[in-house]
This record gives sequence, structure tokens and C-alpha cells, in this order.
Amino acid sequence: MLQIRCPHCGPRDEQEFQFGGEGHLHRPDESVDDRTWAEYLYFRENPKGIHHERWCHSFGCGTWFNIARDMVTHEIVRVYAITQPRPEHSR
Amino acid sequence: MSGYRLGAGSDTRTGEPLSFRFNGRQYQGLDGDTLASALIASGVRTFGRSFKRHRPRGVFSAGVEETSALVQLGEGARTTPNVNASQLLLQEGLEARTQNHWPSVNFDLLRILDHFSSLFPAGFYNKTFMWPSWHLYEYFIRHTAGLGKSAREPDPDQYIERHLSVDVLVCGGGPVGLQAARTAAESGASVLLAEQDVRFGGSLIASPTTVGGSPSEAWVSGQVDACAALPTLEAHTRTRVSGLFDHNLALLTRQLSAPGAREELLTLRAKKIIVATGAIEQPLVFQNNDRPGIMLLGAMQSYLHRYGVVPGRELVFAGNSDLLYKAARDFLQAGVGIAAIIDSREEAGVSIEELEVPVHLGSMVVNTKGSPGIRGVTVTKIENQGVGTKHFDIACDALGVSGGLAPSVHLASHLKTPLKFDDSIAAFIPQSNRTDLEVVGAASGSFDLERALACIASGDGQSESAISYSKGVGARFCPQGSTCDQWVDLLYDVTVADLDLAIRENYSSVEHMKRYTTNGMALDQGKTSNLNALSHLAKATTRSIGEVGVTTFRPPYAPVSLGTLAGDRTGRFYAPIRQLPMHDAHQALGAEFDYYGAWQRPTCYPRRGEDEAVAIAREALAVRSHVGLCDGSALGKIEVRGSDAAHFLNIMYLNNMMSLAVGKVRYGLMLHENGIIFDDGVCCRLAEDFYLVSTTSAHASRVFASMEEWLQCEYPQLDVTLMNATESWGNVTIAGPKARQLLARFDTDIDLDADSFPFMAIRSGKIEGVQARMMRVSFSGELCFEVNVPSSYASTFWSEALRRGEDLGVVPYGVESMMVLRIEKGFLHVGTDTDGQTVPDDVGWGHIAKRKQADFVGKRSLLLQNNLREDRLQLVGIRPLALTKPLITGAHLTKPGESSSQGYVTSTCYSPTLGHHVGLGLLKAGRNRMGEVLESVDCGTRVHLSVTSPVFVDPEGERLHG
Repeated sequence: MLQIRCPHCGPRDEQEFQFGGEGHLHRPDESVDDRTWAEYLYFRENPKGIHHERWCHSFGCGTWFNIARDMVTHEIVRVYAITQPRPEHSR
Repeated sequence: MSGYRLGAGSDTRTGEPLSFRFNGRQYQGLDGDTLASALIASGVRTFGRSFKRHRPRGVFSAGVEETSALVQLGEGARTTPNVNASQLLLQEGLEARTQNHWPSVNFDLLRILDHFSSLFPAGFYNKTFMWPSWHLYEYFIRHTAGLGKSAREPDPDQYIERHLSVDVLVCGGGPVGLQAARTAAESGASVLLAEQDVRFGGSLIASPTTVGGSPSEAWVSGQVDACAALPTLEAHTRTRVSGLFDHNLALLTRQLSAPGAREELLTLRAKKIIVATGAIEQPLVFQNNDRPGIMLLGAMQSYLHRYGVVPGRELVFAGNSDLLYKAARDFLQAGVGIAAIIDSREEAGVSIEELEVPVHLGSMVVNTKGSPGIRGVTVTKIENQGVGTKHFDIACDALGVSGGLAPSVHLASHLKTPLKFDDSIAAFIPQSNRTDLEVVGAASGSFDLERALACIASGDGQSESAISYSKGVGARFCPQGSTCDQWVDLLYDVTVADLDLAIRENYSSVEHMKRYTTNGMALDQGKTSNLNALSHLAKATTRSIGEVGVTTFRPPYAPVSLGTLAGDRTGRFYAPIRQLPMHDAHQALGAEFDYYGAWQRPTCYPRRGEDEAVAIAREALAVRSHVGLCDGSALGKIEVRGSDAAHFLNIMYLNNMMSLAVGKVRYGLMLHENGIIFDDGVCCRLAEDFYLVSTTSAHASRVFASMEEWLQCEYPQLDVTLMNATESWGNVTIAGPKARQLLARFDTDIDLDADSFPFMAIRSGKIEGVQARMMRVSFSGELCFEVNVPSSYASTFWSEALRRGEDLGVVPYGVESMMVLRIEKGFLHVGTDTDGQTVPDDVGWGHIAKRKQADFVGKRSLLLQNNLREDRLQLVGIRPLALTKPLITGAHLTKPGESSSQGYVTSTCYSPTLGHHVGLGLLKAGRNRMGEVLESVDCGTRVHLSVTSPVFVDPEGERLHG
């Protein structure tokens, strides 16, 4: 079980959080073609390394936020606000 | 009778005599004994029958690695199967039994299985019991192959749960663990030290020596005292680290002695973990190496020193390292003679002459004799890496075997620490690559205690490399042919022949071999079998052990009671139950209850002599003809406020919520981004910047969470605040032609007149002086007022409405009666009449979606090809041709006489209004098939039916506008 540092409540156990999948997805305009829309809906990164993803402290303050997590070691290298852009270098 | 008590051991020194029962017979032991030591001292040799072949088995170890002495402990509700006798502390009146035999452990008729053992190799079940079905054989096999039996009654005991965090967790309270914990705590760190044994000291209690020049016993008590004096150190015995998980989470199980409380579960987060779990002695592999009386050499030392118990009168030691000679000296010093020592190496690392024990160098045991217990060994000289020509016998009634020590790498492996095979000790060593995990002492392959302690004291922690034995470590396998009586895994009866069969059949990857043979998969998780199986696999496939690799060690390290993990989360605490604010009132009315999601809600209110079906029909008819009250408090109530509230809801809903006038209510569908229907409900506009969203009961919290996610993640710039007010408001739904008449009997400032308060409107005001919100919506198809009052007042209002409406024929109606009313009207129930593929057009809302210009969640997905197909499943009504026939929910719809599915039945009921069954279903291109005759098929039952409009009652909707 991960320990996640909620930006509002501090470090809490994973079971208080809800995983929201990959972060920084761009929601395309409805005029895009089927392929672009399907990629937005279904295609996700699965890197062996740093993954940017969003979590919600649903059994706490309810805040959605982003984290950068190493998919191999589970190390959380960065926690940042949901409105912040994807960091260039997470390490 | 061969084992005996020599004198006092360090655990039993002051022990009072205790009496206990084993297989119904009375025995005596000493306080401080384990069940195993007390029984060995009483001369008992057979502790149970093996898993598959029902071979008699004795005690094999003196600790967690036990493979054989597993017993059924206690009786009745507290009975526990597969308890390790070598770790079970003796108590007065303890009652234990052997397992897995019929009729008795000494005369087991199922032993016959052993005589046909060549017929039961690995994979036997999978290959043999295929035809016609495994289930035919399962009952018999489960009764012959197995271990103990679990209790049939609920567990009467309590389990305690504790969460904590520390700076340092030290796993293992042996000499190195004690030192590590002390060193850490002295530097000010908060430390938890966990030792699974009843005492601290680890290897030093099983085999005393000197540490830093003083006797080890004095050194250990000095360390324990020093630790006890440290305020930041919490040290526990009988506490096992069962598993290590991500971000240094540890699960510890602590045995309690309190009456009625069995175990404590500690969930712990540590900044740093020190693994000091020591090493486990590995066995040797030769023919008939499983007889009672054969045990690990270190276990023999443990029984001698800790309990003063010797397992036989004539002892033989067989091994592959200098551990043999340390053990020999221990026994000789205690005045116990040794018949022979058999060392597989050509040369010993110590002087053997002064021992005055016959030592056979370069020799190995090839076979053993005796039934059931061992009576002698056959020994041979190893010549040219094979079995020599000359064999000779040595009589013995106890054989200590030692294949050298293997670091207990399990906990380090739980954290995915890489393992490296070290040839000098012929075992795996964890290579921690992180700063927050240290593996120290024997667990890191550092078998020289003084040096390991020096490393800790100097702050080096983990020593750089393994420290090998003097003159190395010799062979563990007797180089004889592969037979089915050379055991590798004693607990699951896996032999060398089984491993070879797996290799022949190409299950030669470690993971395949493990699963095909079940080697290492038993309760002991291969603590004494994995390494031997790997080395055999490596040799047989001419690879190095490093190339073969190792199977994954997973938590738990040793079995954990399910009760410990469950803790309080049993019975009524298993899952939270949500009760309605009017729950007590429903109970007083004799309601039947059921669970709808987490909510406990009335299904119906049967009167004396009524069954459910009769009550439901009566309640539904009463609503159609008079008036009924339904508790709708479970409906979600989400308040949406802010200057962008209208804009936000317009994105959330397929329907246009911008154009909704203040005081008006609009039905809406909410979609997932992939276009699938997520929820339906009504949206009410209370003010320009204030909406109330009413969701389905089951989805309230999910809809709220989803709206929060969209708001925070995608539309953070919008001025919107969400609040889930579901539990703040009780909802009394008053439905039926006399609903207005009933409501008018209350004092309210809301004008109930149809013109000023029409269908699909909402009004805020007061009822009996209490704040209220009333909505004119209807899920029954009748004139209906949903009256929302504060939850605390709901029960009073409900009871008062029943009292004041008595002459109007008012009845309470439950969820099932409400379902009948809505099916008669063809009203959609999301999740029942829709599935994970249903889009708005499938249920008749395609035109609304097409008309809406603005974007909304899921909009673009509705244009994907799959969602525009013409043969999609569409919502239809169905009616049986023979009106007396019931319809079956879940049945497939087919063309008459055909078998391919055209869709399925989603909802059915007996319609008391129409006097026959009606239903709803999802049917391929259903809207164009009105009037078509189909069959519904359910487990061979076929019912002819016709496809109709889903609206069966009042298709014009005149009644609900009333």
C-alpha cells in the first residue's frame, strides 16, 4: 500500500485515495475524427519509469491532485496541483 | 519410545509440570515446552500423516520452517487447523490432534496411497481426473489429500488492530536484530523490534556460544535489559513480520495471551526497515529422508538446549559443513553420545580426532530403515561424484540432517530486493539497493556473528559479502538415481522423481516447475524445499542456479489467521449499512427489508396473512386508486451553486439545463465520457445560481464524485460549489390520485394547485412550520409530490401523513411496489434496463442528444461508429402471449424456435393494474419490431411473447399531470 502526500492533508495511506488514471489528458474538441477521440478515451501511457497520474483524496479532503510516480519502484517523486502543467523533468 | 528428557533446558528450567492431551491421550510436559518438545520428551514420534501419500511424519524442525508436525488444535468454535507444534507453547489442558489420516495416525488405511505412489506423480490429478469432470472426483480427493479442518462455528475470539509508524522496524530479535534495534534506539530513533519466538536471542538460544568473550546467555539478557531501558524502543516477542509492502508498510501479527483475544494485527509504516531474520538450515536429499526421527540438526540442538529434550537414544548426524561439529560438541558436552557423523566433504574444517566420534568423511546417507520411525541409515562413500560400491549400515533412532544455512531472504524479497546466488554458502543472498532497507547478519549471508555485530556497531550495517564456512559447504543431494522416495518438499510430498517428471515434460522454468509439482507451495512456503528444488533443476538442465533463477517469495512469511486480518470487520461490521431516516417507522409498520446498494430499504409492508407478492400487488393498486407513501430518502441530493452552475450542469447532462427556468424540474441523463449511460435523475433550478440535482439512490455518491472530478480536473475555472446533501433531507413521496388531497391537510405556504404548481416544478417553503422542498415528479405515473423535509423531521411527517390520510385509504408502499409501478409505466431504471453498453438512443433519448448544440460529457462518443449501428439493443416492452405466464428477468430473447440471442429481458413484474405479467427488455433493433412474436429462453423454459411499447399504463401520461 502506497503512502501518498496529499497536498492538503499530508502523508496518508493509499486506501484513503482514489486513483484517477493518467493525468494531463487533453480533452479534444468534439470536431475531431473518431481516431483522435478514441485515443483520448482509451490510449494510455505505461512507461517503465516516471508516470504522471491523478489521484483524489476521496476519504479525506476530496482534493484532486497530480503525482509523478516511478512505475517500477512506486517512488513518488513529485506531488503537484491539478492545475499545474506536466513537469518537464520529474527527477 | 526413543525421545527423552535429559534435564532442564533454558526454556523449561523453572517450568511447572503441565498436563495436556494429544490424540485423546494424557501427557505431561513442562511450562516453557512447546507441544513438539513435550511430545518428543514423552517418546512420541509420529505427529501426522503426509499430505498426499499419507506417510507417517515426525517433528522436522524447531521453528517456523516446520514441514511435518502440524496439528489440529482445540475443539469446537476455537479449533485451529495446521498449527505448528514446534512453535506452539504448551498450556495446561491443551488439546491437540494429528491430521490427515483415517482411522488413526498409527493405523492409516490411506497409507495404501503410498504403495501406489508411482501412480501419483506430479500432475497426476490434472491428467487423470479430467473425464467426464473434475467435480466428480473432487469430493473424494479433497478428503484424502489435505490437512486440518477449520472450525464450523463463528469465531468467538477477538482480534485487535493497531496502526503505527516508527523510524526503524527491526525484523528478528536474534543477536544481530537486538544489536541493531539497540543501536538505532540509542541514537534517538523510534524503533519496533519484532521477534516471532517466545524469547529474544535467535540462534544463541538454540546453540549457546560466547559473544565478545562472555557467555551468550548473559550477553542476550544484557541486550534485552538494555533495550527495555530505552524509551523509544518497543520490543515484542511472539510477533512476526508477516509481510513487507510498498513504501515500507509492514504487517505484523502478534500473539496475545489475554483470554478471548487471540492476536493483534499491527499495520506499521517504517522510515527504515532492518531485516535480521537469520538463516534457515536446509535438509539433505536421499532415499526415505522423511521418516519420523529425522530432523534438522539445528532443531536437535534447539531441543537439547531450550527444552532439555533429546529425540533419540542413538544419534547420527549427517551434513555438509562444520555445523556438524558444533552440534556434536554441544551434545557431547551435555553427556549425550553420538553414534556417527557423516560429512559429505572430503575434509572437515575442524580437528575431528578430539571428538572421539566416528566421522565418515566424503560420505553420504543413501537410505534409511525403519517403520514408522527411523531405525538405521545406510551410508556410502562418494566416489567420482557418484554413489560408491560399498554401503554400510549404522543403527540409530534419530538422524540430524544439515545441508548448511540459507539466509531467510523472504522479507527482503517481499520488497523486490534482488537475490544473488553465492557459491561459497550455496544459497541466495539479498542485495539491497535502497537506503531504507538493510539486510544484516545471517539474513545477509554473514554467518560470523562477531563480525556481523561489529558491522552494526560501526554503522556499516550490511556487510559486503557472505562469509563462508571453513572448508566450504558440501553436497546436499546424494548422487543416486531419481526415485519417488527422495523427498524435496516434505509438506506437499514432492520428490526428486516429481521434479524430474516436470523437467521431462518441459516444465523447466522455475515458475512452471513450482506450479506443476506444487514444490514450495505448502504452508511452509518452501523454506526448506525451494533451494534444493532449484539446485536440482539447475543440475538436471545443466544451468547454474543463477541462470535458473528463483521463484517469487510473497507475503505472508508464515500462515496468518483469517480472523486476524478480518479483525472487527465481521458480522454486522462487515460492511456499513445505511438506514433511512424513517427506518424505525418502517419497522413498526412490519416492513420487509432488503439491501439496495448500501441502503437497507423496505421492499413492501405485508399485512397479516399476506405474502410478498400479495402485499406488492395491493400496495401498487392502492397507489393507482387512492394514495401511497414511499420513503425516497435514499435518492441522491446534490446542491450545485455558483454563477457557473447552469453552465456546469449543461456539461454534465445530455439534456439542456441552461434553458431550465427557475422553479422548474427537468429529467436528465448523465453519461460516461464513452457515451454509456451513467445515471438518470432530475435537475431542479431553485435560483439562477442554485440547482438541486436528484440522482438515483445507488449512484448518489458516484455521481457526486464524478461531478467533483470534472469540476476540479477539467473545469477548475468555473465558479461552482458542490455539496452532497443526500443525508440531510428525508424524502416522503406521496403518490396517487388523492395525493394533493392528503398533502392539503398539512399547513403549508406552498400553493398545491395544479396551475401554480404543475408537473415538473419545484417549490421551496414550509410545511407545519418546517423547511421543505416539494417536487412534482413521478416514478409511478401517478399524481405525485416528493416532499423533502430535514431528515430529523422526516419520521414525524411520515407518521402524521399516514394518520391524516387514513380515510383516504393511504398505504405505505415499498421499493418492490414502486418497481411494479415504474415497469407498468415503462420508466427506465438505470443499471437494470441499461447495461455497460447502453447509449441514450438505445432507450429513446437519441433525438435530445442530437438536438443539443453545446458540448456535454460523452457527446462526441455518441458519434462513434459502434454507437450508431442499427442493430443495437433497444429498450422495448414485452408481454406474454399466454397472459397467465410469468416472464423471467435475465432470460434471452430469441426468434421462435431459434437459439441465437436477440437481446434479453431486463425487468419483469406481475401488473396488478392489467392483471397479467409485463416486462422490459433490450432487443436488437427493437423499436422497429413492435408486434413481433419472440420467445424468452431461460434454462430450458421458453415463453412466447410479443414486443410492445414499454409503456403499459396510461400512455398519454394524463394521470401524472393531474
